[in-house]
Amino acid sequence: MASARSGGTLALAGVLLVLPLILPNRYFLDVAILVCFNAVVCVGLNLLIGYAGQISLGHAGFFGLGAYASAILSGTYSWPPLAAMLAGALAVALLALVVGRPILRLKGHYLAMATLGLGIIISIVLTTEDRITGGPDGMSVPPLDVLGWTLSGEENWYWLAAGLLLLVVVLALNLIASPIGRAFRAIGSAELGAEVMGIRSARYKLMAFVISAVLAALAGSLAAHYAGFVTPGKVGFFHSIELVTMVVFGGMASTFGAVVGAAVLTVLPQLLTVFKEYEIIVFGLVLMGTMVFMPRGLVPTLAGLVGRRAG
Amino acid sequence: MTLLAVTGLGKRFAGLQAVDGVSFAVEPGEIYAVIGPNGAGKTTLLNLVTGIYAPSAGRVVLAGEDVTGLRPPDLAARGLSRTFQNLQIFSNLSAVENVMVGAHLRAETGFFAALFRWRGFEGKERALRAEAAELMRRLGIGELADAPAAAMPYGALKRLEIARALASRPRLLLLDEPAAGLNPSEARELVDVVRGIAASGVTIVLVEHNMPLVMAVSSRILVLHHGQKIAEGAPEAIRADREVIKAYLGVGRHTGVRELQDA
Repeated sequence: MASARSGGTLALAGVLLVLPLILPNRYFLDVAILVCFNAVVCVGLNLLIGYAGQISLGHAGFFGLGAYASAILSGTYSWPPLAAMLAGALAVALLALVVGRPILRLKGHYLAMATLGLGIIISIVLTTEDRITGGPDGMSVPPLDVLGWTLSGEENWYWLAAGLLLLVVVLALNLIASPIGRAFRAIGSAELGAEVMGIRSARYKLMAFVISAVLAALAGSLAAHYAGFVTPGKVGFFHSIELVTMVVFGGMASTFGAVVGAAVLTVLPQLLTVFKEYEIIVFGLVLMGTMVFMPRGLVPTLAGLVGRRAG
Repeated sequence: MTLLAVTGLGKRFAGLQAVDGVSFAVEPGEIYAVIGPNGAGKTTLLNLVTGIYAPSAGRVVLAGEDVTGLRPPDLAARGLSRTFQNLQIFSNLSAVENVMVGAHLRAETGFFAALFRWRGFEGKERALRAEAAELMRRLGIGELADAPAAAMPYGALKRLEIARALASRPRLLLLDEPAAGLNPSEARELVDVVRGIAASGVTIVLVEHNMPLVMAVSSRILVLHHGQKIAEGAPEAIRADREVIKAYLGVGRHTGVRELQDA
């Protein structure tokens, strides 16, 4: 178990280190940066969905709140970007805490509906409050500036995004292998059994919800600074579905699965552009095929195959 | 002092009085069995005592403290644990991790200690894992410690639930039909398992259909029928009780009586 974990972490670190050397141009580096941001969100979301067994169809809302907090506070109000980012993450943590308490009592489809509603409300507010947010046109975001040093260029952004992803993966793996992570997983598979063992499931579900929301907000902030622009497009319902799809596709309850899911589903649409107008159809077919033949998701299924051959 | 005192406990589900005014007391060190024909309300009674259902009437007192209506985590903190007839296994954890979850209340660490593996975190986890593996050995499933729970056979899962419950170091352990679904030789082995747990100082409430097991280990037996207590006493007295025999005959199956008499 411990060796598989450190082995996976080393492999991820290796890939992240080598990537900029083999990627042929800046365009690919740009995609790699997006992969890292999406993967950070998915590793967090996987704690909630894959481990604690609670669905959320509203996490693009948290991503968007992080992005807009950075845009508004560091742009309109000229806050230092780091302070804006922290304030955004803190506000999202509070919102998740307050909203999560009542809605996490719901189960299954009802929880899906409630989180869906939350995401839609956030998206509508960001779109309609156009005096503050620029409305559907979006708004520009100042560059990420830390103590007078400005982060610029794809290379530097890549190292920041990759470093953050590696850190988040290591911390998530630590958490999963701790009593807290065991409580998440226990709730995810037998909530009644978990309660009888003394686990206050409401508290742990809320913890997973807040952690995943904060990671989404942080990724949103960084993505906003990187792009230099935010629009409500990445805040809406479809992006929430995309995030959940990445988690399920890569493999629920697998941290590396979340990373791989984010990578494949971020890169795939870029590769499928050769299919022109049929792109979305091929994309859908790939998704359907994977889930039919690998219902547990990409990484757990492949790991199972390798394990069987080795054993 | 009486460890568990139940008075006038009742539960009404829309139109059905599942448990009706049941009272009993369990003394420390006892193995107290609850038997009765199918549908007699045994599992409902267990769910009332362990906080899974809120009672419609009556009181539950644990070691002198009124715990009526408390939720399972609160009862776990007060030294009560249980197993499930239909199993509540954490199928996405390994066997030994299932048992480690049983020790959750002792294992809880701060968020940042878990995130960065600070301050003796590793040592604590190792000790917990060793303790859980030892409990599994005591229950005869030691070799399965690293197996994924989802891949374990049914009989082993039943023992895994007992090991998990023991990991919480309970004062009172409620076993919900531990012999159900086991083959006869596995069921016979349970006699020693249950006696061993009681000998280690854990008081046991045993809800069970398997009469040989009940008769072999119990100090006293409570008989439920249609949600009501119809008899209580030592195994020999229960075996000869006319009301009990009638209840089992009334179900229409003579097998229950024969088991009652033969055991």
